[in-house]
Amino acid sequence: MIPEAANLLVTYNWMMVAYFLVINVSFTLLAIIGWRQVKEYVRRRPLRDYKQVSRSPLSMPVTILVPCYNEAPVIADSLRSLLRSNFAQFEVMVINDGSSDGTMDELRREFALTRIERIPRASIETKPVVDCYASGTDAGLVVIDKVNGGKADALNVGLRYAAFPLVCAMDADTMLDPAALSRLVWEFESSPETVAAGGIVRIVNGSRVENGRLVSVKTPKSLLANLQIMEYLRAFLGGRIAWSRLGMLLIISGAFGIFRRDALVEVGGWDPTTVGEDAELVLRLHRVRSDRGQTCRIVFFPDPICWTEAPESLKTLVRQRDRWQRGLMEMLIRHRSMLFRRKYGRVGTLAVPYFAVFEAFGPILEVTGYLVFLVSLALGVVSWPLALAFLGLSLSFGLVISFATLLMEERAFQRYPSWGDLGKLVSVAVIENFGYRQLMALARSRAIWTMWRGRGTHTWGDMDRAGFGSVEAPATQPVEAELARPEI
Amino acid sequence: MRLIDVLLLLVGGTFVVWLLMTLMVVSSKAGRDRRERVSKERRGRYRDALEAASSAQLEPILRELFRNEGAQVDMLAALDAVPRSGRTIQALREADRIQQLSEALEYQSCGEEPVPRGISALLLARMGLNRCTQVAEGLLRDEDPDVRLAACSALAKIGTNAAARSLIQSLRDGTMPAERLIERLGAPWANDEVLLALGESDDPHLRTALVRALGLAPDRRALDMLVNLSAHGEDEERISAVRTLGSTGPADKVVPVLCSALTDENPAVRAQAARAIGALSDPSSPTWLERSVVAAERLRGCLGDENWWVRANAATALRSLGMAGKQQLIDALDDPDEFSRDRARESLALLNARATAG
Repeated sequence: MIPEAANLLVTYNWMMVAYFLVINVSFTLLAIIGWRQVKEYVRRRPLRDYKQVSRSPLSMPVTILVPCYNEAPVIADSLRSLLRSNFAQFEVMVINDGSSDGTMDELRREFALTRIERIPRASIETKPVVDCYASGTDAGLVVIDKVNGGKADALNVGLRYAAFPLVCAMDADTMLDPAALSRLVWEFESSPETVAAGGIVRIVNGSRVENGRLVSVKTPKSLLANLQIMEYLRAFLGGRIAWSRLGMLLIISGAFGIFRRDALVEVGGWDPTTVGEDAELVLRLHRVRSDRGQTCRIVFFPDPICWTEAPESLKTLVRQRDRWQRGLMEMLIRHRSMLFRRKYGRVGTLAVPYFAVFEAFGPILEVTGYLVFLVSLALGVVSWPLALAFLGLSLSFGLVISFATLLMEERAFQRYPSWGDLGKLVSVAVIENFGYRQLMALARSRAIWTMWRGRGTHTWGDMDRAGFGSVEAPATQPVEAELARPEI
Repeated sequence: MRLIDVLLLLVGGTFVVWLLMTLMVVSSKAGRDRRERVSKERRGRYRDALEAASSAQLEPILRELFRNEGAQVDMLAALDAVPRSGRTIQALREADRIQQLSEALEYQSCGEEPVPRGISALLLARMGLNRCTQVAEGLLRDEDPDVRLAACSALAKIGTNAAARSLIQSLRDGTMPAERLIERLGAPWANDEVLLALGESDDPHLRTALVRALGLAPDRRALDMLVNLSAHGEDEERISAVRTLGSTGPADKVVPVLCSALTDENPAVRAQAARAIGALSDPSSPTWLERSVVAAERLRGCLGDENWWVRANAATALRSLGMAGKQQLIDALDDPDEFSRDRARESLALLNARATAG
């Protein structure tokens, strides 16, 4: 073998060792910070009168934006569940993005819609609005019918017409915990400098849902959905809480986040030209507000919960990850000028570089790392004992991080109450290291490749919705939970 | 030491950590299940003792609460679940005379950790023990925002004139978001002090806040002051006064005032006046029919207001004025003003849709 090639392989392997060390040290630090934060948050709960927030007529009112495209099978159930939120002042605004499956007819039939005049309160460029409707059955429901333009465009229409100072962006196929709104609104009320707040997204598959309400939480039968439960827990409890504590939160899930309306209008709302409009918006908020010398408090909380359906088919899951990865890449490319700029504080000097290296290019480094490692082994550049030891180390670190998150969940929230569920999660935390993580890294690398080749769309895409139904959450049909994004 | 040895050492170390974590996960689950059982049993016991209002039963319970955060949180939950009665408070005070828990909680309220400080205020207030007002009042100026809000909540539970005075003072000091104080002051027990402060204050911000509190707990003693403020106050005062008048009533006194507020120069006042007329709707009042006809005529004029908020609120108010409102909406279908026609058409359609939906 040519010595230069061998040297190159050795160098690359050492680079991967360095990458491995840095990423695992970061994960460990994030888990420690997250744990301390969760502990404090849980301990403070008796001091916080969330019930008062939910019933007080002086609480900040919220416009819940529900953009929808071809959601006829699920839209009525989702809205009924939302309209039952135990929060004093809110309106639900459905923005029909030119659906072609009869979503508007379904809405008209179920909610006795009547055309009304609604004056936009902000000027943001969007596709034309066809009509605004009020409901004859629910005073708190407004429907806006518009020309198709994608999810971000639909959200922007909602932002233009929203009447209240806070807007909650959520997906049409997600379900809010009854206390979720009051817990997040509390944060805006107690800290007026808060611009955006996100809650945890949990997977509903397997749990029991009756009339749009979660009755009991259980892990699903599907291995793929269980793997995603563990993945979400790690991302939210092990990552986002710590980023939020450090003032460097870059993502608020499109599935559930509350924003100060005026702050969104100031930055021009969601960007309809990107796949990951949720993450892009948060980074833009950081950037624009820093540029203007305004404070930008963006926070995440671990128990205002939004329940979403996770895909149970590999094809849909891969497609979902493809979108997330492209969204992340687009966000970082657009805001690359924030990289290492002290002007943007910790976000520019730490968070953006971290996301660029470990989240955007991490999958490629990981996949090429595996390949080079195998080649090195085959060519004898790396010895078998060394290779096995390194693999063992990689596996054990992965297990430690996953179990740290599981520990956090068990100590603080214990949303899965039975021993059987815990057993499943423990098994999944081990199993995910053998194939699933590698597969996800491959899917994300493919997304980077697709993007590099200039492919990909910014539309809603086809989504088969099964709805929450009335008994057990759906498991049979693939569902693309497009934006319930954990950073992986 | 060779690289492989270092790696093996690290692998061994992390596997041991992982095994420990697995044990911790399992023991956490078991521990939490046990803690939940203990907590459930404790809450039940506390609730029984509170319901029995027996100082003999409460004495050992109060002893348990000394420096025990878990027990204190359970006691708060039990106090929430049991209706507050004079007998219970009396029994708690008798038990406290022997156990001196109030002193311990007062000491706890000066501690370094915020959570026990906040809990001490809540517990003292809900148990109605000695010096609860002073402790909560002191904590209204705490450095921790959660503790300040807990103190605010505690004072609302105490519900005395002294507590109301403390909350009003906090409004003056601006130590926490005004809405949190207003919503606590918006209760009948606070009205005496709110009215007193409203009469004495020359600060328009404070007056606005106090009027908003009265809007949550309407009190007809405030009528004259509200009428005066709705005509002569500053913008914010007029807006709040007009809105509060809507919930205060009575219709025969308030409708003329609100109708004149419909011509205020500030569109926000006009919009709130329209909304307030809608909120007044009271078909059981003997003079209501006459008043509603007058109000509906004036509201119809607002359907063509230059401000969309006024137009929208006027249409909503007409929808809630019964027959008088509906008749005006029907008449407005022929109005020369396009805005009026549109609002009338829309409101009638909504009325029909709601009638059809039942």
